[in-house]
Amino acid sequence: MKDLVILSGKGGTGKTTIAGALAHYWRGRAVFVDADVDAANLHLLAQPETILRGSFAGGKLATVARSECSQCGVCTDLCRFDAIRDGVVSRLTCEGCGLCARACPQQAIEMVERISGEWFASHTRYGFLLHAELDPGEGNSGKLVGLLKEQASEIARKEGITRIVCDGPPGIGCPAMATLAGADAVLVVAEPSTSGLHDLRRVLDLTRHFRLPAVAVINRADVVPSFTQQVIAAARERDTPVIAEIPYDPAVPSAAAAGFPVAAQADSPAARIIQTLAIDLEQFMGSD
Amino acid sequence: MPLGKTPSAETTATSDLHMEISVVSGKGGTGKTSISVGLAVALAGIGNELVRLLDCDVEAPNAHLYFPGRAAIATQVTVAVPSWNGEACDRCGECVSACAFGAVGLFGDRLEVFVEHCHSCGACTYVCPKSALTDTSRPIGDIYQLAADGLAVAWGLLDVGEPRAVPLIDQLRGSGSFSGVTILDGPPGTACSMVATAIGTHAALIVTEPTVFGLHDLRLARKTLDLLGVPYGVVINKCQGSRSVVHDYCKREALPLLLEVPLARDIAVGGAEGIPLPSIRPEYGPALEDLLRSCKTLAAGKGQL
Repeated sequence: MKDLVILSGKGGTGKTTIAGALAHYWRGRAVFVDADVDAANLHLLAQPETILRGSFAGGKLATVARSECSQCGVCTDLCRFDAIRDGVVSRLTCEGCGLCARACPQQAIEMVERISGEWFASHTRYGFLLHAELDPGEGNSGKLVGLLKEQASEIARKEGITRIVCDGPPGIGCPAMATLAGADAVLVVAEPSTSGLHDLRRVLDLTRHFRLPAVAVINRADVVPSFTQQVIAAARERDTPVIAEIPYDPAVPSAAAAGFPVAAQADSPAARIIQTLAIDLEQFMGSD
Repeated sequence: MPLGKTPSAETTATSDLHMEISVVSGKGGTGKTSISVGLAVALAGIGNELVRLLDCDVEAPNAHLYFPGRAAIATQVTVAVPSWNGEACDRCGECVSACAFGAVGLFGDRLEVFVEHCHSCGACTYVCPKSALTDTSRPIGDIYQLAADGLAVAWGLLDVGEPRAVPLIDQLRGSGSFSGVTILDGPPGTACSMVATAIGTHAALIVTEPTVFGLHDLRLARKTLDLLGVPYGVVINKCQGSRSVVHDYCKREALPLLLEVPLARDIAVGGAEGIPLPSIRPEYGPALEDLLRSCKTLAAGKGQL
């Protein structure tokens, strides 16, 4: 089983665009995971039909029995997240640590399981897709990513599929790190800009932190050639080859508007480059 | 600010002089930083207000890149993690039971603290009957500050390998008292980092793009801001014409459409080079300045100003 993770650091570089196109070229040969659980977009390119779904319990929430509360303020003093004030809990900031429940002299606080979202396993025109919808304002996205990856491994094992592809979230914090857990290889999607360059260095520092082999592609590579060169150099400094340069292509948003990855338009310049990329990635990942 | 404290969940007005505007999106790469920087530079240029730009995208901050060649002051940021005194400990295991995050484990005679899992909640130190656990500081990143042409810029930079951005965002927001206008450049997404950025701000700008992805994530961003009770207006970036699924949605939902910026090569190239929007296209200066007026109106509509 090989697990390929697509990251970027910088948001909006084209991870989902490329993931969607790879799903097309690897139709039926990979299980896809949309690990961007609070802003999932991959399903918009895949026409999913849900086969399995479940609730996600992220953590716990402090719940106060108002009739028992004596307004003593012990909880207010102890809570380090300013999430409870005299027995009133803020759902947005409560981290579920349970300190208030332990400390309450009236034992008026209970820690209750908190449903934070829903996950879905779907059939799509390209094969299996795992994705989730984290409820607004909820946390524990890393845990939800872990759940999706677990479900993906289950399905892959059952179906005899030997490849998992994770369309990652932006950033390098806990959601990105949870996506990298168990990964065999990383595809970094870079953008030729000063921000893209800065964030590329950070995400490659992260992949090196986890000792994961990485390759990079540059999206919209023709827009600012000087930065494309800088990105190639920065990647090389971190032992990461740039294996494809994808030009800006209006076929990308227009295919997406029609609910398809750009690969559905075979004559698009971006599609042609990603088709070659798909072959090169198979080599990079080694035999399944 | 005390370690781990989050700003109040209530959106209360502060003084007449202090206004906080958060800039969020849902979708990554729509132009939050471009608009945040553009707004901050335009307002600083007028000279009527003290302006501060806070880059709360601490995993991948970019706003400072628009102000090159300025010396930045760095301040290390730490969080509390428990430190174990083996001699005082009687291995009762109360701390292990008390920890909701699996950050403390008793292995025979040894207590191990898994700092990456620690949420700095203080439950373990609280329950220990022998005072064998005390708070100690662990660095997670830095806050940087620079001054540029009448504008104060500050940003957080989370250490690579650190999972939790929220404590750094909280400390960045709490650093230094300020009266003036603060623009908070947010991270993508709609989860805890975005919440930590937008919570308690007077108004928000949702920066989106006229694509199906932009629309999908605009809906999610709205839901989160509604939950926070923060009023918002929409900025559509990278427009091709004045019709799109996003334009239609804003109209149907009667969302205030505060600014449209076109998809244009000069803007894309200038932005890539880290040039603020008012310098690339001075004609957008007044429209950017108007964003402050719009935000004040939005906030007043919620009874906050």
